[in-house]
Amino acid sequence: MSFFSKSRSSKQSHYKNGNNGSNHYQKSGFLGNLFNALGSRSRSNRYYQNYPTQQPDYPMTNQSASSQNAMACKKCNARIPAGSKFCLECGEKVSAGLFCLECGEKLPPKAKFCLKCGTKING
Amino acid sequence: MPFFKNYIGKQYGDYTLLKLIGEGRYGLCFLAQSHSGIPVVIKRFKPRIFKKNKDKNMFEAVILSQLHHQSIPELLGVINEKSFYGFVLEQKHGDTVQSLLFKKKHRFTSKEIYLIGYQLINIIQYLHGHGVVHRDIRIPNVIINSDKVYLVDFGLARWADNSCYKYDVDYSYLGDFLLYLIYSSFKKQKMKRTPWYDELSLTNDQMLFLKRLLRLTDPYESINEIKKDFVKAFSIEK
Ligand SMILES: Nc1ncnc2c1ncn2[C@@H]1O[C@H](COP(=O)(O)OP(=O)(O)O)[C@@H](O)[C@H]1O
Ligand SMILES: [Mg+2]
Repeated sequence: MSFFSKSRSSKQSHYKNGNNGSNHYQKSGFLGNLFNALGSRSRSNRYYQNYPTQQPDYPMTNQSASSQNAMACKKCNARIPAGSKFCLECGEKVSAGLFCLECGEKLPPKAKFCLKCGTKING
Repeated sequence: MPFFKNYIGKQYGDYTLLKLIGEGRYGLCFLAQSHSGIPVVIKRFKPRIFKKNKDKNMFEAVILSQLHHQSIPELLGVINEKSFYGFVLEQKHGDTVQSLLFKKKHRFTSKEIYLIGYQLINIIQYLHGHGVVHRDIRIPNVIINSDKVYLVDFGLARWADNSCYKYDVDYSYLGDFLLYLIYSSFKKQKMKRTPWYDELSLTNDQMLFLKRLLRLTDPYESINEIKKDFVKAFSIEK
């Protein structure tokens, strides 16, 4: 068993360790809190060090977050990542609900279907 | 020196901060109130980490903007004032599983484990159905209010792909999460460090289910399959 688990997950340690017992599950409340309170760096270390291929500008496969259909904020002119309901710089609300829930494409007012992926828009 | 006290009573945008309700590695969460008295949660990012993750911070906002589920907090706004950067979130009332386990010493019955697990699997099913991997399904990020389950903290959530961000990370976190619930009523006998599968008394179905989630044997490939097996292994109507 443990051989199997190691061979599968040693290189991808972003999976949870499957071999813990009561030492772990009945104690980590305290350690967990301590960990949170010490804060800051631990999260990125713990999660990101296992991703040698994960660069900051990792190409997004999902259309809704690709830069091509990002918009400029009407108020502060900052770039708003496509799909966001708010400008992440000034907090300005992006005209409500005018994005396709499937692909993130901006929708014209009263659209019945997304012009990009064809998803039906509910009223 | 509770430094967060400096923020209590302060006004940001439309909101007044009332009290600190939670802390994670990324942020401090405050209960806040709008002019009109509507309670919300404001997640204030720790500036140092926020800077460090500059390109990734937007995922939480974009992904939350796209999700609409009663067990997931709605994104209500963004605050950016001087050294205060935060998201305004719908408040989900209740206790985190972390606090139920380690502060309130709650022991989860098998019925509760079933009800909680089932709802959490439904939430994961919704997320995966919308192309989102949460990547941080842990006891401080799951909130319980009597029988209702909520999933918060989309700070590590990403659009799934076939390389870096795979759905099966959530399966392994689900397995780990369920073990916390199960261990709440476990009484340790030996002092030795023992893995869960040698220590807990579980049915064969439960054992196999958890081993597959935790990738100790033939891993699961879809959340639908997980849901089916969970019901089979943990449903108490037998
Ligand atoms: N929408 C919410 N409603 C109620 N409590 C919340 C909400 N969001 C976060 N919290 C509380 O605040 C804590 C920290 O927030 P979280 O988003 O997990 O921050 P971090 O990314 O730093 O872990 C959570 O563990 C939870 O207790
Ligand atoms: Mg958290």
